[in-house]
Amino acid sequence: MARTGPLRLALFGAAALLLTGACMSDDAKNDPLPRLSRARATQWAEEHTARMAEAAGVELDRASAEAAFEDCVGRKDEVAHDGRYSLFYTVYAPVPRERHTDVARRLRADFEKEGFRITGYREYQDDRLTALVDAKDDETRFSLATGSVSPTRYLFSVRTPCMIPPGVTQQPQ
Amino acid sequence: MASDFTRLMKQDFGDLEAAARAWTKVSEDMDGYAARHRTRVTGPLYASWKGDDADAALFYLEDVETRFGVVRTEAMTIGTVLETTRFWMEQAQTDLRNAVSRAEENGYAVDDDGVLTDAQSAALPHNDPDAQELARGRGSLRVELQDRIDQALQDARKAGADGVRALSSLDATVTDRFNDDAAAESAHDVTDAMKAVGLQGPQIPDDPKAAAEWWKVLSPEDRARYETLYPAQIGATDGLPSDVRDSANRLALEQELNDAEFGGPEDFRDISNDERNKRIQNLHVLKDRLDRGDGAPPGKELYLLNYKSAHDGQAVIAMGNPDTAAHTAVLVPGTNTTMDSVDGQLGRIGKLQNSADKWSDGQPVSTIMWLGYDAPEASGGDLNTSVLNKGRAEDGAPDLRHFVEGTRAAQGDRHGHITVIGHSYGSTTVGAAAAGGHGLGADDIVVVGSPGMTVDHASDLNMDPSHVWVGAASDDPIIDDFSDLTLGDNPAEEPFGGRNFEVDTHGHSGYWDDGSDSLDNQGRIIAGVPPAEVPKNDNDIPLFPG
Repeated sequence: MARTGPLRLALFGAAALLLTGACMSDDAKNDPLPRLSRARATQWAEEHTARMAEAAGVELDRASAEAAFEDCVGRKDEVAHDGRYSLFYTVYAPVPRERHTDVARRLRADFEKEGFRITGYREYQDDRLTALVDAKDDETRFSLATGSVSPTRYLFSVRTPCMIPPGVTQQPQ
Repeated sequence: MASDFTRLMKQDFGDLEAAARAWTKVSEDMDGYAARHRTRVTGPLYASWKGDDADAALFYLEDVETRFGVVRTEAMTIGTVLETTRFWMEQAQTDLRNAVSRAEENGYAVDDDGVLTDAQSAALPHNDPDAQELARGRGSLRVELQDRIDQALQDARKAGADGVRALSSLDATVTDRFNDDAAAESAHDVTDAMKAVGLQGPQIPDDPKAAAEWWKVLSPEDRARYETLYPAQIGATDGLPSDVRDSANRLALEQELNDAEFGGPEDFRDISNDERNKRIQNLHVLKDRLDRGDGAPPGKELYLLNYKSAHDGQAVIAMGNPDTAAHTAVLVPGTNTTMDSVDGQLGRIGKLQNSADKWSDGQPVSTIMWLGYDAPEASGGDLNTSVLNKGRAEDGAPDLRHFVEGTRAAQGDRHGHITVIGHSYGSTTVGAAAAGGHGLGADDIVVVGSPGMTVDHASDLNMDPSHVWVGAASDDPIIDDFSDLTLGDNPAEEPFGGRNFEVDTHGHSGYWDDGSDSLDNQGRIIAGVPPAEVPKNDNDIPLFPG
């Protein structure tokens, strides 16, 4: 499937060519990491979630947005302190319970249109079996997780693979 | 000079009591200073200052924190010795005064040396049998009361002598800044001084609920005393508040590390030099990582809940306070996990906490790395047989159950949501813990990369099987090669029961990969939100490694 939606173009303009393979296995653990500044990654996540919200027909609560920069952890518990990071960006939107399934359907359609692989999907059943839509970009290994967190709130999140800011020396592991 | 009798009769212990209180206050102040220094000075510096200058300055500042701990311990020791001495002397005074009152009520005279005389008996006629019977009775009572007076004086002298001996064992050079083994010395001082005054350590119930109750009814003074003078014992007690255990364990760690580095050979006769060096390395790894976490924001602070320096090392560390968390997860790692894994394990529980925090809609979440058992070793093709049998899992199971029970006890009457996650052989340990005793007491269990949970069905785990979650990568060689063999049936397959969640990662150690759904689905379960679910795998024939 051709994947040339505006989201992907925005996303991969800076880093797409470097986003494959890093952190995948022991053999690849010293492969060059994709380079993206934290500010740029956050900006991209903001744009991305805004677009997701538009597709879902909801308004984000921007005051709830949070960018968590996490350590990259290797498969043998290695942690490099050379500036590398993984971004976990989250933002909530007020969504009444009766719209959760509609939001999930719209997001799934949007993700599919963008060429992401849907990895998890559930429509709203009750306050426990809530709606969710997860998607993955297999090429870049960004993942998107969305879903109900309460009868009145919906979470939009973006996770990145391990990245390193431009100009920082990547330490071998 | 007044006799001991006169002095004890008149002694006012107010000054001694005040002195004991003052020394205890110094100790408590030092504890507060050390905590503030950690969170407001060194913690923020670790986060923002790098390079050789930073290393040198932080080395110095860490030493300052160690010195706070030394003074905390020494001051509490002095305060406890003074208080104990006061207690026994005041008790002796009470005994003495009671005996004297009784003597005076019965008409005996008491001189300035505490000697009783009986003028009434002396005046009785010697040839009157009734009078002599009365005299004999009075004589017996006098002897009894004299014994009580003498015993009280003896008790007071002993209390004084014990106190002097205890205080004499303390040496002011312990606070010398060039004293390399000050922390270790302070720990030895406690042992010597408490022995001198005959004080035993706290008698803590083994049952976590009973331990929590025991702690709750202690006076604030006793709590501070036990935490400072018996830090290893308090720190290791499941059921006590996490902030107490953390503070105690950090103090114990400082003392043990200092002793291992600078202590005399007499303390290490039972272990080899290699083992001693290994312990030093383990303790350094642990301390360095904790130090770097001192500047963490609220909710991300680290609590050292237990540790052992021996062999590969063990550590139980919480991120965020489990006592107040709405959702708590306990991560049990698998093979080849040692003290060197602490940094990575903390990274993993940090990611799990971030994810669960968001899915819980802001309710407080605590995640805990539980390296509280001797995880088996396996490297390359050289598979230690401990990986292939249930022994290590069954050995660790009671401790894991005890820990989870303690987590609940420390949370009090409310029922927090607790998830226990096992990876690889850690899932075998989780399975053994859940299958044994009265179960694990977790609300949800998650296993990833599991070679087996010691049982063949989720229904054997003493809980609702619908809360047993299994994550299995399609290309996980440990699941392929080792499940359905010696460790139990493959939990990912249909006959086992439970529920499988979506895993988008590869191999055996990718379940927390950055940017993965595997990670987020575990975060959902921790937060009590059902993950993206996938069907159970078909029953398969195991492939034994060739």
